[in-house]
Amino acid sequence: MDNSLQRTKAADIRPRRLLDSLDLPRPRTHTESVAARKEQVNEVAEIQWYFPNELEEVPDLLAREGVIPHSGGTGILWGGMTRIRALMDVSRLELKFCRIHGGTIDLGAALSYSETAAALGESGHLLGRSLCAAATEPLRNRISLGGSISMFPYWSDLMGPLLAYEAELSLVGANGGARGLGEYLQNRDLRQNTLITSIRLQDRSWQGAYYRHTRTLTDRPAFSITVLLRQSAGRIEEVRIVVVGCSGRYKRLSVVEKLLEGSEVPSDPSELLEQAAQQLDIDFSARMGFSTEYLRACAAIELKRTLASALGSSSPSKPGSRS
Amino acid sequence: MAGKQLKHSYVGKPLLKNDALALATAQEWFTADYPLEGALHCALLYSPHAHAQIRSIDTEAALAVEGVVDILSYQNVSPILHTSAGQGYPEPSPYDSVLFDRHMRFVGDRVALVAAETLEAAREGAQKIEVDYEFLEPLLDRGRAMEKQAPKLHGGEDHAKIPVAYEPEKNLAAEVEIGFGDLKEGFAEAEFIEEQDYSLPAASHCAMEPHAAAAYIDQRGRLVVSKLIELPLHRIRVIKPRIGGGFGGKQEVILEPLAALVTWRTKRPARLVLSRREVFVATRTRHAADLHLKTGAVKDGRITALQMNCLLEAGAYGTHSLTVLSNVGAKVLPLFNKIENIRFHGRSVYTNLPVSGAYRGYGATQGYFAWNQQIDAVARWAGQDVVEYCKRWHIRSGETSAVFEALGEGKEGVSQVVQSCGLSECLDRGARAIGWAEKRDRRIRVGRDKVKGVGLAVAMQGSGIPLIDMGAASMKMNEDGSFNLYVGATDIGTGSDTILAQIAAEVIQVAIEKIVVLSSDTDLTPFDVGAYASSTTYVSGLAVKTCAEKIAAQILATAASLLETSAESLHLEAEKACDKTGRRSISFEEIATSATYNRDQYQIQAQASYTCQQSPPPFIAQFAEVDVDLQTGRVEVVRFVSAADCGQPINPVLAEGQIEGAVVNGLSYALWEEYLYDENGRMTNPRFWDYRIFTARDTPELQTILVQSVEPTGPFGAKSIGEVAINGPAPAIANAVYDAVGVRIRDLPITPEKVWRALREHSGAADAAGETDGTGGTNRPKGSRRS
Amino acid sequence: MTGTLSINGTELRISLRGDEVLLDLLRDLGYTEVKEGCREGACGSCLVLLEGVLVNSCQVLAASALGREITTVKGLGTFHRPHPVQEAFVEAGAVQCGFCTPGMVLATFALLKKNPRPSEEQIRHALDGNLCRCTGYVKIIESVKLAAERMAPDGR
Repeated sequence: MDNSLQRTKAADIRPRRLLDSLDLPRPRTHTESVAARKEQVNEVAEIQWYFPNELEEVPDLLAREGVIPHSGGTGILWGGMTRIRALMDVSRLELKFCRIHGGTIDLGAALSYSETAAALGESGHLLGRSLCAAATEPLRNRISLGGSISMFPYWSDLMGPLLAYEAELSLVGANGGARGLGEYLQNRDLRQNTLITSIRLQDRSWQGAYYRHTRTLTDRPAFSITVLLRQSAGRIEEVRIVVVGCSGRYKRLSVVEKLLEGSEVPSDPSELLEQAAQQLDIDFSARMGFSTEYLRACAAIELKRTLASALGSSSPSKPGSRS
Repeated sequence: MAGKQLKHSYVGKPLLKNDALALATAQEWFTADYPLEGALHCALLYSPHAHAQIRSIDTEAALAVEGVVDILSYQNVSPILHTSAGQGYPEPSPYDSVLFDRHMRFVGDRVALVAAETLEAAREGAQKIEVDYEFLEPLLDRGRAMEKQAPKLHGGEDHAKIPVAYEPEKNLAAEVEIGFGDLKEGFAEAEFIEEQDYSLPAASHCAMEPHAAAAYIDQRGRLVVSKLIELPLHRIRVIKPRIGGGFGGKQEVILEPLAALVTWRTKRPARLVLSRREVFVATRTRHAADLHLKTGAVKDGRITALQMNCLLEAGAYGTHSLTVLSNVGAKVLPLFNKIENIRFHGRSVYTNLPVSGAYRGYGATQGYFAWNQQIDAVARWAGQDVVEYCKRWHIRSGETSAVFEALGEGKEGVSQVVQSCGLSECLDRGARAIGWAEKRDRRIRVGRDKVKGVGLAVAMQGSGIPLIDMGAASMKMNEDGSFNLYVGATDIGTGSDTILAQIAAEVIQVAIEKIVVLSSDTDLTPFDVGAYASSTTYVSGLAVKTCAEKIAAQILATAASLLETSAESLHLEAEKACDKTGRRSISFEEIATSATYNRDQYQIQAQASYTCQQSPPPFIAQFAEVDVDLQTGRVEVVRFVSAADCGQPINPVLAEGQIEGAVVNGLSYALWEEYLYDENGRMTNPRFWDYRIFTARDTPELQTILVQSVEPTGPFGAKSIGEVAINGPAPAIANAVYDAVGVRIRDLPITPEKVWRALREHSGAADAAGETDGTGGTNRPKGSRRS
Repeated sequence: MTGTLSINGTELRISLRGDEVLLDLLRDLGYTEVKEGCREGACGSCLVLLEGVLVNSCQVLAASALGREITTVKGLGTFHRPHPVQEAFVEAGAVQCGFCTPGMVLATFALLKKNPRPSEEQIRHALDGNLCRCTGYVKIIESVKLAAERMAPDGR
C-alpha cells in the first residue's frame, strides 16, 4: 500500500462521485417562502420545459440543442439531472391510446405500464402480465412505454415481450417513420432528436410465458425470459424466445427456436426442453449478488420452465415471478 | 398473583392506539415537519476515505457561497471525548469519539458541517470545502484487526469509563469471557460433537423515517433540542416529536449535538435531516459477527459442554460493542440452563467500516442464529424431535442460570430466578399451527422441483437491564375526572403511550380516553432510559403502575372523606369510588372538583420511579415452513409461525404488531440483507434499490400466537416483547432448509446461490432429497459428524 | 418558471425550478404530510395522487404536474373527518410509528377505487410500493380488507 502523501480536494471530486457515496441532505422545511426560493442561487442552469400541443411541433423542438422527451420522467431522474438542459413534455400530444383492430395492437408511447396492462386486460395478455410484475405500483403508474424503450436498461420488463412480438415503432422527429424495434435498438443515431409516438404489435393467438429473475419480488430483474409460441396439431409451429439482461443486453435465442420449431410436443416435454436448454449459449455479468456462473445455470433452468409454462398456457396466469 | 390470571377491564384489551388517528390523518409532526421559522439547513461533509488523517481544512471558498452561515469542523469545535451511546452512566461503551475529528475512520466519518439559509447553499458549501487528507492504510477485515501489523484506529485518550477490557492499541473495543465447569471434561464425555462457524453481516434498521434533528432557542433563551456541547443541562430542553421507527438505530445522539451546536453558535433554529444513503452509511448498523460454537452431547441428548466464541465488528467506533457482545452470551446461554460446562469468549474489534450500534435483538440475534442450528443438529443426532428436545431442556419457572449473574451488560450481571415461562406451550401450539408432525423430516415434494421443510428456533430476551434501567412517571388528576400522565418513556411507534395509559387505567379504573399522555419532554416528563432493551412495558410500566397506585390512594382518601367513611371500605370502579354494596358512590369528577376547590384543597398528584431488579425474559418459539427449489436453490418461506410468551400482554394487538414487525425484519435479514463494501471500504449498496427488504408482496403467511403466562413481578403480569421475535426467523429458516434438502447454510443471508452451491457440493444429499421419507423420523447415522 | 397547481382542491400559483421534484415543492408549500423516506421511488412515503393516479412524488418532476390535480392524504380525510380508509387503519391496529401510513392510506384508496373487492394477493400487489418496517404488513392488509368491507362500491 502506498503510504505517500496524497492530496484530495473535496471540490475536485466530481459532484456525482461525492453524491454517489453519500448523498447530501435534501429536504426543505415548509417555512421557506416562495419569494426566498426565487432568489436561490444555483450553479446548474435552469432546465427549459416545452409543452407542445401538436405532433407537428415536435421535430422543431427536438432539433434544438439538448431537448429530450419527457413522459413519466422516472428514467430521466434515474440518470441524474445535472446534464439535462431542456425537456419536452409529451402529455398534451394524446399519446395514451390502445387500438386493437384485427390482429394489430397499437399502443401510444405515453401509456404507463399500468395503463398498458389495463388496456390489454391484465391477466390476458403476455405483455400485460410482464408489466404487472414489474417494479412497484406507483412506478408502474409512471413508467411509460416510450420512455422505457428509449432508456432500455438491462432490467427492463418491457423489452423482452416487445422484442418477442417483433414490435414496430412509429417515430417523429429527425428520424421519422416506422422502424422495427430491433433496428431502433441497434442504431444509436435513431434515438437522437426523435420521439417514439406509438408501438405496434402483431398479435396472433400466441401462447406465452414470462420469467423475471429477482431477489425480492419488486426487484429489478437480473435477467428475464420471454417465450411466445404457437402450436397446432401437436407441433410447435412458431416460437420466439428473448432473453434480456444478458451480455449485449438482449438476445433472441434463434438457435433454440430452430430446434423447437416443427417439433412434436409430447405429453411430457422434459426431454425436448432439455435439448433446447443445451443449445443455450449465453453470458451474463455478475450483478445483484448473483455470480455469472449462477445466472447462466438459472437461465438454462428457467428457460425450460418458461417453455413448459408457455406450452401449457392456454389460460392466463397470475402476475408474479413467472407469468 | 402468581399463576392466576385476573380479570381486567383495560389491561389485556385490544384498545385503539391513542395516537393512531392523528398519525393516519398526518396530523402529527415528525422532526422534518416541525415548523421552524427561518431555520438553517445543515449539510454534512463525509470522509471519502476509509482511513485518513485530515491535515488541514480550507473553508474559504465554502464560506463565500451565498447563503452559507457557519461551518463546523475540528477547527472550531472542542474535541470532547464521548460515546454517542446512551444507556447508562457511565456508559459502558468506550469514550472514543469527538464530534469532529481529524482522524477519519470510515467512509462516512464526519469531516464538517455546513449551515446555510437554503439546502442547496449548504450542499454547495460542503462541496467547496477543501480538505487535505493524509491517506492511511485501512483495516477492512475484522479477522485481522488484532494482528500486530494491523492499522490502529484508536489510542491516545480514548478510554473506557468503567473497568472493562478495552485495548485500543490492539483494536480491541471490548472483550468478555465467562466460564463454568470443566469444558475439557465435558467434551471428553461427549459422544457427539458439533463444531461449526457461523457468520452474520451488518444490517440497517431501515426505519422509514431517516434520522433527523432540530434545535431552536425558546423565548427564555434556552436551547431546545430534538450535553455534548459545553452548556449546562438546565439550559437545555429535549423534546420528542413523532419518531418514524428506531429499532435501536436512534438510540444514540448522532445528530442532536450537531443541530444543537449550530443553534447555539448562530442563535438561529437549525435542522439536519439525513438522506437514506446517509442513514445507511453514516448512522449505525447491526454488529456483523463471526461465531464459533462447539457443542458436545451424549446419547440421551444431554449437552455435556458448550463453547461459544464470538467476534463482533464494532466498526469505526465502539458504541454498544461491549453490551451487544455480552448479550450474545447473556441472552442465549441461560435458555438451556442445565448445561454444566460452558465457556463464552467474545471480542469486539475496531475496523474502518460503518459504525455498529444498538439493533433490535442486540447480540441475541447473532447468538441464536448459531445456537439454534447447533441444537437442531444435536437433536437430530440423538434421534429426537427438536420440538420435544427443546421442551425437555429449556429453563423453567422457578429455575435460574449461573449465566444471569455472570454476564450482565458491561458490568456483572444480576442473579435472577425465572418466574414465568410458557415456552413449552409456545412450542406445542406453534408446532401444531405449522403442521410440524405432518411436514418434519418428510421432504414432501411440491411440484416437480421443490421440497418442503420445516424448522424451529427458540429464543428468550429480557425485559430491561436489571439494576440499570430506570423509568419514572408522574400523574395529576383534573377536575373533570381526567388525568395527565407524564412519562419519560419514548413512544417511537411501539404504542407505549397507549399501554402505559392502559396500565394506569387498570389501577385507577378509568377509560384510557380520559388519560392524556405526554411523553419525552425533559422540561415536563421525568427520566426514562428510553425504548431500548425491551424495557418499556416492564420498567416504565411498573413506574406507571406504582404512580397510579398512589393516585388511587389519594382518590380513595378524598372519597372517604366526602362519604364520611373509611378508605378501606371503598374501591374504584368505572370512574367512581364505591362502597361494597354499590349503593354509595361518588364520581371521579366530584372527587377531583372537591379536592381542587372545596375543602382541604390539594392537587391529586403523584410520581414514582422504578428500577428493574430483574429482567424477566419473554420466550418465543418460531417455526418456518419453506419450499426449496432443488434446481435453483431458491428458498421460499411459505408460512411462519411465532408463539410468544410475554406474560400478560397489556394490549394484544400492539403485542402482535411488535412480533409481526420483528419477524418480517428477521425474514429479510435471513434471506437478503447485507452490507457490501468495495476494496476501499465504501458501502456499495446504500439504497433500497440494492439493499432489499420485504414488501407486502414478499411476506409469507404469518401467524402469531400469544401464550399467556403471568409474570408476578411485572405490571399485571406483563413482560416486554419488543425484541425477541427478531431472533427466530434466520435460524428457523436455516433449520427448515436443512430439513428440506439436507444442507446447512451457516452464513447469512441465505441466498439462492449459496443453497445452490451447497446442493451441488453435497450431491449425495441432493440425491436423497429425491426420495420422500415417509417415516417421519431421522435416518442419520449416530456418532461424531459434521453436518 | 411559474404555473398553477391544484392541491387538495386548492389552486395555487407558484414559482418553481425546472429540475425540481414534486416532493420538494409540496413540502416547501407546507404539505409536510408528504414524507421523504428514500428519494429513490422505493419506499412510498412520498406518495400522492396525481390526477387520481398513485405516484411517488420524489419521482415526478414538478413542472410536469403543472395544471394538474394533486391529492395528498389530507385531501382524503382529516383528524375530525377521517376517511373510512383511515378509520380502518386505526381499528385494525395498522398504525405503529405512522411514517408510512399516509402513503399506505393513499395506496389503499387508489386500489379500492379501481377494485372495490380485492383479493389478498391484489392487495399485496397494490401496496408493493409501500415499505413498512414496523408492522410486518399483517395488520395493514387486514385494514385494507376492513376498509373494503366498509366502503360503498363507488369507492367513496
